[in-house]
Amino acid sequence: MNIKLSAIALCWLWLVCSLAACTARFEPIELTALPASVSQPDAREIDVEVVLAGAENQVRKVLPDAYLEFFGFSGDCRELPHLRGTINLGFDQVQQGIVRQQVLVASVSVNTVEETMDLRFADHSSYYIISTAPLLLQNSLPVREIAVLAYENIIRLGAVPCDVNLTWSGVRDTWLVECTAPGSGSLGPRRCEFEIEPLTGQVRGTQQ
Amino acid sequence: MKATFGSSTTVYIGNYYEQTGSTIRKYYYAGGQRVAMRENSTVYYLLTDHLGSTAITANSSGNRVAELRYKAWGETRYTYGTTPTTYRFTGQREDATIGLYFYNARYYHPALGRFISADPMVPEPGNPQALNRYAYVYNNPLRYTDSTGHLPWWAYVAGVAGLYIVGRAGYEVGTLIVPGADQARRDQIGGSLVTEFADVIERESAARSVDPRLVSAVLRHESAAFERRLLTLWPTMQPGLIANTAEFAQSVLQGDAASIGPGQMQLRRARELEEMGYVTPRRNDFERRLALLNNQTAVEYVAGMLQYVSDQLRSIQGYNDLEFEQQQRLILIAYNWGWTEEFQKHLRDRGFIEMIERAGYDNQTLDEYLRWRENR
Repeated sequence: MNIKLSAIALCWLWLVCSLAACTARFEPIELTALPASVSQPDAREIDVEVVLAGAENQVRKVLPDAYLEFFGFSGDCRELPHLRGTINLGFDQVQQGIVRQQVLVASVSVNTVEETMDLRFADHSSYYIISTAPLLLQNSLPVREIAVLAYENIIRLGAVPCDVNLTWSGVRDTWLVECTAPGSGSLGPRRCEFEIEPLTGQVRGTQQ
Repeated sequence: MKATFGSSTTVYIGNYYEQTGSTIRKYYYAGGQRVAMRENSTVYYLLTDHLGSTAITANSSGNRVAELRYKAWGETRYTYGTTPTTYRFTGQREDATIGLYFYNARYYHPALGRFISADPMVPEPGNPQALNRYAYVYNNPLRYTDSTGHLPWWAYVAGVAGLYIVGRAGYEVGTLIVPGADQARRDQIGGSLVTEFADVIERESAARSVDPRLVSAVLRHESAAFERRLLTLWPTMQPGLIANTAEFAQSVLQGDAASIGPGQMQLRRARELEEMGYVTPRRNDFERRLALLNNQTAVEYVAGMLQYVSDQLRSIQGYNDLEFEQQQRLILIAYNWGWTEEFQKHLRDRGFIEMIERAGYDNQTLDEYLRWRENR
């Protein structure tokens, strides 16, 4: 009988471990300095559509069902209207397991000046449950217009020169603009923070 | 008990006495095994095979007076002399008139190798042989016997245990599906841990200048993690021996990456914290695992990790411009990620605010703790 109960206990443990580990293991992948197209042929202006298409193309080679979840621009705020800096994109692919969902993430950084792209793929499901709401850029004024509006407000606030981080994700209903001390990057001392309504371009919550 | 076949009536008193007409038989047992009988004044010794079937009958001088041999399913394949008892195959009583064996609950047909009525219970639904309720000893008569006509008692115990285990697992899986049930379980299990170790939490937090609410929030949430609850015998119990043994084994088999203990901390993180002086160093991984699995010492690791990520975050200039609550939430996010390159890159790409707003889980950890504390 003891053998029988031990066998049952072992089966139970096995079942639990199987349930916990039933999603396929995903090893991180990192790709750096891939060539990236950032503008239309014969055009000098950086085109977000071209950047997005290039990134999606690369991401879907690994995560075929990935969708855009995050858009960000970071760089010198004087370059904001031209989007010359780094465009950061986040893509998610969500797969439902037996017990919990598996969230595979692709983070893409496109250097629009050097026209290169870094990609990192990772499994974020095991230790960190995140919002995976999709970002629909079509529900906003064009990114370039938002960037111009953001820059104009930064000037109005007297925050130039500065570094800027312009972000929008599926979890927010507004664009977020954060300025920091020049050269300090997105996590430096704060100079300004405000939001922009995606559809109307209205600035709100101005803070300096 | 009295059995009548035709004009012959036999009276039985347990397995010790029987009378048919003027013939009286008495049986003698040693260690539960039938070893001898007396028929009126004549004594016989009964020798059995490995299944307990009556094989050789010897007289008081030790001479063979009768012998029976059986086929696998109980049919007689060899007879010598006259065996004086009806206790035969597997030591059960044969009713020679109808050619069946009586197994207390049911009659067994040795030629068919089947009971002639169904077993009223299926105590081992996982065993395909048990689903055939007419089958004799799982269709393995060379190995097993059946003294009752039912499965053996341990099979019932194992069956009940199996059903309970399946029910427990179903209950915990259900808490992930029913809205609010998971949080209720964390209130119940994690909450009681936080209450029990409130003084330890206060002491370790104070020693590390960490907000005790963060330590409590982590412990309330992580100590009642789904896998730990699943490995707890009784729903209201703290995860104990079974959960700890499983997590210990997982940590050994999967290496540093497995999260263990009420703080659900990886072994490698614990080792790094010790090396950096944030928690008391342990001599080896064995001691480290035990410390992580122990409710009291796990508090030290949780507080140590929170102190470490707080120190790292404070070294970022912009962090100090954040509101206090935003800082607290970022600390919890960093606790879950660990202070890894990947976390730092995400933080740089997305900024503080976006990082906080995206981290539903970590925000929930704090929000649910604060709700629980307010309501208790």
